[in-house]
Amino acid sequence: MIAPITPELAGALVAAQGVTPTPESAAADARFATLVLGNAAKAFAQLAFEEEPSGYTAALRKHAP
Amino acid sequence: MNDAQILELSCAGVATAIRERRVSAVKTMEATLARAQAVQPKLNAFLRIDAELALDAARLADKDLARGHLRGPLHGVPMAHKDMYYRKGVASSYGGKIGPSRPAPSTATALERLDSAGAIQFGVLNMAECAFGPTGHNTHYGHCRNAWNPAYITGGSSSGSGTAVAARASYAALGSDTGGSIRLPASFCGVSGIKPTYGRVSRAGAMPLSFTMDTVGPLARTVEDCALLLAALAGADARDPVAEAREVPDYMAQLARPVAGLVIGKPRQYFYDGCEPEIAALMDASLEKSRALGAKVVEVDLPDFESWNAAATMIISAEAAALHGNWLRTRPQDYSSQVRARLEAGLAVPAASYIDSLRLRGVALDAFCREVFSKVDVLHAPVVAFQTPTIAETDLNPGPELSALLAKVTRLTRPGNFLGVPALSVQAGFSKAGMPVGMQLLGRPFDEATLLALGHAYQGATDFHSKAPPL
Repeated sequence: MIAPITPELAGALVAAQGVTPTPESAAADARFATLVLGNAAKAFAQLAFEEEPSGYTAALRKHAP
Repeated sequence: MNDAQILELSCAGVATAIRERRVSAVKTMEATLARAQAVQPKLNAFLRIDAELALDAARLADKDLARGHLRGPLHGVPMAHKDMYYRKGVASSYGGKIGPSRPAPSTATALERLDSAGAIQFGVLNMAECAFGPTGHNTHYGHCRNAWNPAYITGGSSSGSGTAVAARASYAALGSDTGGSIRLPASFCGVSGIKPTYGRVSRAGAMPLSFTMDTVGPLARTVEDCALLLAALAGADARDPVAEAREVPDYMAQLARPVAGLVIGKPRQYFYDGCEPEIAALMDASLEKSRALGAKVVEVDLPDFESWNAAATMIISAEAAALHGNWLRTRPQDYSSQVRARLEAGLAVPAASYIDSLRLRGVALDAFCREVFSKVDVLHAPVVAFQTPTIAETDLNPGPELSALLAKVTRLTRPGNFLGVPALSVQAGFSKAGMPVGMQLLGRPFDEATLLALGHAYQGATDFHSKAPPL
């Protein structure tokens, strides 16, 4: 179980990157981040320690006919 | 040939007619320009039509042919493209206010290759703002409208590409597909479109949205046309570090490959969750047609598409937010409220989660190929699980309802981008409301040829692709 991202946290993250959120947009950002992090959490938990992004390019070539 | 006969030809058909001098490039361009100008008030497909330049280019094409010089397989074929492909010295709009301030320093590789093949660009097409919208709405230039019924959405982000090709106002058009932006308008507008394998076609000079997910590909009236265009577009490019150097197959020759014996997979999970019965019935009918062609259809289990969809969403959102960060900080008023809200959300994706999403891609592709392509040659699925909505029904302000709609529209296409596999959208019939419905065929990495062969055989046994909208 992961904790939800709050509108305050999402708004602070956005503002820290120089973009000014509104209360409504901060709430939407929080909902978005909480949803996608929650849906991906199980898959992320199963990633091997050594897995890295370049594994993707190798996989593309490996599975070509 | 009269104008109606010229316009009824496919891209491959008109290329042959011009090559054989049964029709001139000028006559073809005149007919296309007249058609584009006639449908524009109804569809809002074009953002610019360069009539005089295009006619000058067509005259040169005819002169070349008269002295025996054939430029390539698309000699003299009129085309317009999504307004995100750079032409040196010209500013692309990106479907919004950001692009017009940026004249292009060089021409997109995709445009250069179509130019070399002899195609003539006569205009640029409407698109979702910054290619970041799957419905075809555009608050800057006006919503793009579906050629089959202007009250309905075109799908996006290659909205103008889908509806212009359907309306016989362009023989083909470049689209781009980061989360479904070729397949969705192809499906909603009843044309064919191929999202190639990530890296198969150079992205150089194409407006980026998500550099690890962006793909460049064509929409056209037939699968044969898609093969013709892809053959011109694909291949290594020193200007794009991820453009794949492997040999480009002869896609046109491979259209004739037999489909008898191919094994087509129907997914047991994910793609049919909540699928409307009418859509599911059209998918079953298209599978039955494939069986009649000699293919074998089996059901297959899928790995964890739900988590892959979430990871894909994080990647696109975070990369788009990074690419647009400077403008989000300095010109937020230049974005529509919907696109600004979606870009802002990407700033809330934690860095480690973005990287985990990238780390997951190779693992996911391995699992997908192991569990699916060890059993089947092609995965068959709907492009969307519901019937085409109207523009009014989907014209929403930022908020939970809009977020749910956008997620629903791209749910079946986005995983294909995460995996990077090729996906071909082909019309599978019409809904009872008279709107086209598409199916998508997904294949092994760099195996576009199998998808094209199957799609071409399917179109040989059906006539959906030959029907023109009642404009």
